Amino acid sequence: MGKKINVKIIIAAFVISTILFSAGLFVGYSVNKERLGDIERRLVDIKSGIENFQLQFLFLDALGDKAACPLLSNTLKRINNESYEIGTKLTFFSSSSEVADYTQYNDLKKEYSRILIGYWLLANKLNNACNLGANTIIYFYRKDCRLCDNQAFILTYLKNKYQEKVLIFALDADLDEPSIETLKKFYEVVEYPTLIANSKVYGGFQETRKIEEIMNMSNYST
Amino acid sequence: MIGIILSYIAWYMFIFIAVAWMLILLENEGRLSRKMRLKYYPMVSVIIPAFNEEETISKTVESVLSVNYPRGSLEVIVVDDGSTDGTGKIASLYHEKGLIKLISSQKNMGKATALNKGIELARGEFIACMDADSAVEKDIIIKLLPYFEDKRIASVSPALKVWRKTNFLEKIQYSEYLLNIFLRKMLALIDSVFVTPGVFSVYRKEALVAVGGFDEGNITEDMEIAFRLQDKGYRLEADLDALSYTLCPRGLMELLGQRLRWYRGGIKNMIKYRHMFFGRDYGYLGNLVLPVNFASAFLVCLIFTSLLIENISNLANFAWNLYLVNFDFSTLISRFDLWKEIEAAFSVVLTTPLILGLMAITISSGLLYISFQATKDSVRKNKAGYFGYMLILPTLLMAVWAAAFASEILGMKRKW
Repeated sequence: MGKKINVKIIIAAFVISTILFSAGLFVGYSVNKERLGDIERRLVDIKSGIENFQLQFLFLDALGDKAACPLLSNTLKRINNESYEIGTKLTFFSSSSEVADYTQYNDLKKEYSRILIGYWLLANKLNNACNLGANTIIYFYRKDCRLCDNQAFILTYLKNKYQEKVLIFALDADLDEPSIETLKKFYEVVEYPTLIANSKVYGGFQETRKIEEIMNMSNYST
Repeated sequence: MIGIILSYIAWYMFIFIAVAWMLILLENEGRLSRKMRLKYYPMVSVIIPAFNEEETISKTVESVLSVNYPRGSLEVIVVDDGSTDGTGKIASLYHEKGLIKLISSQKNMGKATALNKGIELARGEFIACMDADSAVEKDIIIKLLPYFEDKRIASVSPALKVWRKTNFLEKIQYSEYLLNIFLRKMLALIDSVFVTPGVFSVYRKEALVAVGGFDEGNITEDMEIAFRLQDKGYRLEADLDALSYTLCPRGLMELLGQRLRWYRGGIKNMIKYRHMFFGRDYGYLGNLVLPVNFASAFLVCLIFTSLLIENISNLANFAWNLYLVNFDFSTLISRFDLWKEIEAAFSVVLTTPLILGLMAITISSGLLYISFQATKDSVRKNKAGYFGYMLILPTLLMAVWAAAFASEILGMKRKW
């Protein structure tokens, strides 16, 4: 005398669960899409900030360094903080594999990288023109690079220690972006991580002390 | 990546279980309340095995002796299972007054053996197994017996509640036991009860004898007997308001020890009765309840292990990073953007699992609430336990399940 079972209930349970589960996934997807949209809007803000920055550069010639430099270094600081925040968010997105739409995400990343490079160029120019004594470091990384995590941690640490004295620009070497490729070719970047500190190439993982030396040396030479 | 896939599977299973329960409840709603009345008063033997329970044995015996049931049809048998304290003496007092029968053993034989000895002596048509640190309500027998009118029923379980809820841990367990009462009734509706709690579950003596009595030496004999009865084709029932009460662990270590025992027993029993899984004759029990129970336990262990491994490697990496910056904590901590990073992480990471998790918490809150309703208890009076249960107990139990699994695997004696 076997025990009976109502198969219809089990099938109904599967169907309803799948619907609920898909609904949950869909809501998550939508929320992420909204978040990426938010990042997109903020990147637009930074872009216009940098355009202002370029405009302000013209003041240098017109008004001379004493007047223009404080204004410019302030703008630099603001852009620095804003781009750092966005960079952090983008990084978290990629590491959490939560990305709803890879195309949109990749496009944002490329846009962000272009902004960073433009920012780097301006920062170098400003550094020389106003004698700010700031160090600029481009940091090339890629996905399966063993020491990149550690290198990033060191760089973030240095950023906190020296605040405006060091400006860091992190570029994903795997991104199919012309401006990144140009830099890679120009500096002959072959290994990862690689640092371009004050326009000099340092291939491979660099320890904290080494980077601090590099920064101090450049200061003396200015 | 594996962790995320596993957690998605886990959420899906969770939702599936909850939905299946709701559908089963809907289909069987009419059968939730007991509509039977006792037509005659058969002989009932209550067996109380006791090992060093001098503090509570007296209360237990008094509680059993005060049930509403004709004296002539009630037989109380205390089995002194090798107690080294005053249990024997207290039991003898009752025996001398002619209120109970007493079996004394010099050696401690274990609860299952003690119960079997009691069954040998018992004259009742029905046998109730009782713990020596528990109590029952007066009408428990007249509420449970009517089920036996159906000849196929071999056992009926009471609504087991926690006796004392003074500290937080006990309050949490109070809520948990309420949920268990409800779930047990639901299982009974689909003929899938697989634990008959040893606090006044009533058995048909004929059935107990036919399947060979309790499994001596088994740590969870109340689960094993349920499995065995199911295996032999009997039906098991449960009631929502025939109340019995038991003491529950008050300290964390005690609780974890108890749960470890339960879960090890559960795994052992599932292995022993693995032929019931997906067996054609085993209905909902073999094709839904047992497989889902096993799968969810297994999944929990996998998730827990992968979380552990991932976190250990994360911690190691973090330690190494600290070394690279010479452990300069002051700089690290003074970061103004540490908060920004935390905020960024929070706003981005784990959106979908979070949503699914919220869904799961809502569903389980709902189920817990329904149990309170079904057992006519009040959420307002049990707020601490209700919310505490929702958050804390599952996490604890997850850890215990993983430990039980590990010890079973490590301790398994292979037969090649």
